[in-house]
Formats: sequence, structure tokens, C-alpha cells
Amino acid sequence: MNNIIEVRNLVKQFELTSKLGLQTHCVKAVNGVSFDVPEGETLGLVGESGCGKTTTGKLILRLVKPTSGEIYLEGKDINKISKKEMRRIRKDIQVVFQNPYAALDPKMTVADILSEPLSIHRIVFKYDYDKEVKRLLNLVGLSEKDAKKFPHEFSGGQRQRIGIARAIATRPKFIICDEPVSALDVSVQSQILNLLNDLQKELKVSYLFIAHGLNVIRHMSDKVGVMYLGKIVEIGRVEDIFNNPMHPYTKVLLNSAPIPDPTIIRERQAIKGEVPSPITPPSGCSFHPRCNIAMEICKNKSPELIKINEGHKAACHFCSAE
Amino acid sequence: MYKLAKKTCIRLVSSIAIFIIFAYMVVAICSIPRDFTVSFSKGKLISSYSLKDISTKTNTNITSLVSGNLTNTFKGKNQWEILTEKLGKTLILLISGILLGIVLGIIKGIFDSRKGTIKDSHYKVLLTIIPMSFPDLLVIAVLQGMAIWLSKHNITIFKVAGHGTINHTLLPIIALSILPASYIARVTALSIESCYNMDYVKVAMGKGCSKTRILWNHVMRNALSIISEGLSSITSLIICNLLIVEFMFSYMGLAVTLVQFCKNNDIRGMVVVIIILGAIYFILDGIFQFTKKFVFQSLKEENI
Ligand code: SF4
Repeated sequence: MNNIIEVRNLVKQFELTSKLGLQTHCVKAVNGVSFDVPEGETLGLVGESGCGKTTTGKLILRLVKPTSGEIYLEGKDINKISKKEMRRIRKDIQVVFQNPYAALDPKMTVADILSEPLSIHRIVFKYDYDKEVKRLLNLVGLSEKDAKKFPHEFSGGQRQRIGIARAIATRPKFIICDEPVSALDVSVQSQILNLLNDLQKELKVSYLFIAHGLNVIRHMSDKVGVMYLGKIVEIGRVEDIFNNPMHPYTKVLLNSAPIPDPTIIRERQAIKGEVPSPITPPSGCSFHPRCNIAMEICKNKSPELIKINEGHKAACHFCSAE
Repeated sequence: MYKLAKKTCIRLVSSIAIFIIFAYMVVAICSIPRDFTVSFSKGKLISSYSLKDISTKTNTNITSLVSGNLTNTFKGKNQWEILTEKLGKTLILLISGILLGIVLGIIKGIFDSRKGTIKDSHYKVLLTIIPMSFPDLLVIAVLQGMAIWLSKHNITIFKVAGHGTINHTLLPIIALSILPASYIARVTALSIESCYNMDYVKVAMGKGCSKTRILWNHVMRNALSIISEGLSSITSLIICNLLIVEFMFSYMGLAVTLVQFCKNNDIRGMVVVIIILGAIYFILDGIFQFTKKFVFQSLKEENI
């Protein structure tokens, strides 16, 4: 299967400056991230807050300029193309943001919101905008009458549906879903997830699905990348990650996720300490201050991602191929 | 819509009520005799005039003002004629000053804002804040110095002082607009920056909207409603500056007339000018409130 997106050694370093404009610190928000997203599949990115998931998404969207690394969309490095060509390519990469209350322009009607991408990328003729808007609304389970309404007239779930309709308006090949359900009620979350799944089947679109919750990631993803302090520490098929986690961080994350069955009693393995500050990351393996099995080598040497089996990789000195 | 109309009516009635209280207070203060004294004797406060005397005088003055009894002549002219003539001149100054302040302020605010980039705009912001901290006298002196320098170089478009031609109004209008323009520029820059941080602007960037489209369709549309909140404040700024501007440029408007009435000890004339200036403030403030409600905010949004 062809890869729609290939990310290689992506690095984003933010420079913190004082009021006088002097550089004080450097934060590596994303530090050498690499992954592929095959056509029609979903890569889930999971990790604690501040681990660089959202920045990775923004780098792919080129809303933030990377410090180094390559991002290929169907084999073309989007960091090396002109602004004009990038604007044309944006049609193929779309985004659904976390907060449906902030993601829709409050001064625009739903029809305006949905027809704007149609006009920018000339997806349909101008006289077909109304028809297309209605089609998009129907596709995401909203009524045609909603086109004339303003965003504040909708609930959170309905707004997220509008956000999804806007994302699919340009018929993209790749959509970044940045925690699309975390701001919604639990009852609405599953509706939105099912809608995203249905649209994927229908439109053959690929997703980069960013989330906190492991259950959501498991439900949505074909492949999962686990991020910690700007790095991918484990990546593999969803069944590998959930059935055979190799990295101690992944194991702790899975262990701390709730099981929806009160009869199952599991030995809790709490993660110790707080996420270290990205301004002064720990030496060696960045997980070593919190790792239960850390050894001396972990403090001095940063582990590389090593292949465990086909498509499954982990970055730990004590993981080895089966 | 009904709720909005109700809200507007309540606001209108409360503004009129506040204006009536203001006018009554002005008349009451001006009705206090000049030889009014308060002394403390045998543990009691004793005033030279009783409260009843003052309120009776206030009521008499109000009745005579309401009936238009202002027939004193001033330099051979009827005072009403003088006031209407001066009012026209002052309105030209105020309205032009406000419009220029808004236009310049919005343009400078767009220039000051970072427009979504992370580069600094400290120096541009400084250029906005410095005029805000200058005393009006200094601003006027600089403008007059500039007009003299230009006239020496045969550019006579600006007149240093006086009245009678459009050229005489140019410098007073500019002087009046500088402070409001700086204020609007700051508000504009901040609201543009806050809009650029919103997700819907990031989505628009992600959709491939051009910078101009993002600025006008998404950012300014939302920023204008925040900017409109600041318009009421510039009314008070500009009216406060009116006296010094008219006086320094010898522009014969209402504020200079107020000074002349004061010199001639014409209390009734003073009262009328103050009430007219107050009315201008309330009307301009009302217009800005109306603009904020009906132009910059969607009616549907108000209905929730
Ligand atoms: S490299 Fe060491 S510290 Fe890092 S996860 Fe593996 S065992 Fe833990």
C-alpha cells in the first residue's frame, strides 16, 4: 500500500526569548519524529499533554515551520515547495481541531464556512455551492436547513460535525484530527468517532488521529505511535501496541487506562513523577527519571528506535527483537 | 429581535435619564451664588444660602433655559445665533477628528499587529504608545512648528491658527485625532492578535486562504466588534481635548465660546455650552453603541 504521508526526522525547536529579545532557552517540542501513514489508514498519536502531538500535526499542516526534517505528501517534500504550490496542496491536507467552539468563525454562517474552501480551491462551480453545501451537511448527518445558521446555534457535537464537513469539503487525501472528541460529552464522542470511520470508508481518506485516550486510539487507529517528550518511543500496528507493548512508557500508559469491566482486577502500575520540563530534558533516555527498570546506561545514552518485528519499533535499551 | 429592541429601548431611556441628571447637576452647580460660604459654628454647619434658595434658583434657571430664554446679546449678536454657529464649527472638528482617529488607528493597528507570525512588534507598538503619553500641548506645538516649517518651504496647506477656511481646520482635526488614533491602534493590534490565535484562523490558513482573505474575512470581521467596544472611550478623550485644541489654534468653536462666557461671567451662556457639549457626548456615545450592536454584531448572535 502506498504511503500518503511520510515524515522523516522531523524536528521543531522553539526559541524562548526574554523581553529584550535575547534568546534564553530552546525547547525541542518535536525531536526527530518519523512515521508513515498509508493510504486509507489511520495513524494514532498518543501521549501525555505537551509531548509534541499537536505540534507534529501543525508541522504537517505547515502552520508551523519545522527546524529540520522532511514531510512527504505522495512523495513530494512539502517543506521544499513554494508558498503558491503549498496553497494548492492544502486542498489535500485538512484538519479537524479539538475545540469545536473555537474552530468555527462565529461571524460566518454554516453555508459560508463550507463554501469558502470550495471557492478557494475551485472544487465545484459557483452555482453549485448551495448543492455541495447541502451534500456535505447530509454527509455529516446535519440538515440542509442548518446551512443558514450561525455556529453558536449548534451544540458541541453538531459543531464538530460542521468542522468535519468543512475538512472533507476539499476532498482531501489526508486529515489531521487533533483530539476531535476530547472537548465533547461522552455520549457524543462515539457518534463523532463513528462518523469519522464511516467517512474514511466512503472517501478513502487517511487520518493522523491525535488523542489522549487509549480507548479512542484503539477504536480509530490501524497504527499507533506513542510519544514522550517530543519523540516517538514506540510505534506499531494497533494490535502490537495493545497486546504486546515493549516500551516501559507504553506499558504504564496501557496499565493506567481504565477497563470497562469491573470484574477484571488488575495490578496497578502507577507512573512515577511528573513529565520533565522540555526546556531541560533529562540526559540519555528522556523517560529514565520515571522508568521502573532504568539502569545506568539509560542516563547516558539515548536509545534509538529498534525494530521489534515487522512494523513494530520501540526506543528502549532493553527491548529486543523477538 | 424583540429582546434586542427591548434592550435598545432600555439603554436609550437610561441614557436620556443620565443626560437629564447631568443637565440638572450642571444647572444646579452654576446656580450656586458666588458668595456662597459654609462655616462651622457651635458644632453646626451654617451656609450663607439655604438649600431651598439654591434649588428654587436652579428650578427657575431650568424653566428659563427650557423656554429658550437666552436673549442676552454677546458682541451685538443673539446668543442662540452664536451658539448654533459655534456648534457647527465644533461638530466639524469633532466628527472629522473621530473619523480620522478611527481610520488612522485601524490602519496603524493592522500595521502594529504581528498578523499571526511570532516576530516581535515592540518598536511598532512603541510608536503607538509614545503619542498616547505626550501632553496635548506638546502635540499641538509640534504640529504648529511643522506647519510653520512647511509654510517656509512654500507649502501653505496648513494654517497655524485662526478660522474661516478649510485649511484652518486641518491642524485642529489632526491634533484632535492623534490620541484617539493611538488608542484605537492599540486596541486594534491587540484584537487582531487575539483573533490570529483562534483555531478558526488556523483552519483558514490550513485551508489555503490568502493572507489578505484571512485578514479581512476572518480576523477583521471578528476584531471589529472588539474595536467597536473602544469607540465610546474615544468620545470622552476627544471632547476632553477639544478645549485645549480650539484654544491653542484660536479656532472659534464651542469650547472657546465657553471660555469667553466664563470671562464675561455669563453663567447662563456657560450652562448652555456645557449642556450642548454633554449632549454631543451622549449622542456620539449612543451612535457608537448602536453601531456596535447592529453593525458589528450579528443580530442572530444577540438573540440567544
Ligand atoms: S531506555 Fe532505560 S529508561 Fe528508557 S525506557 Fe528503556 S529502560 Fe527505561
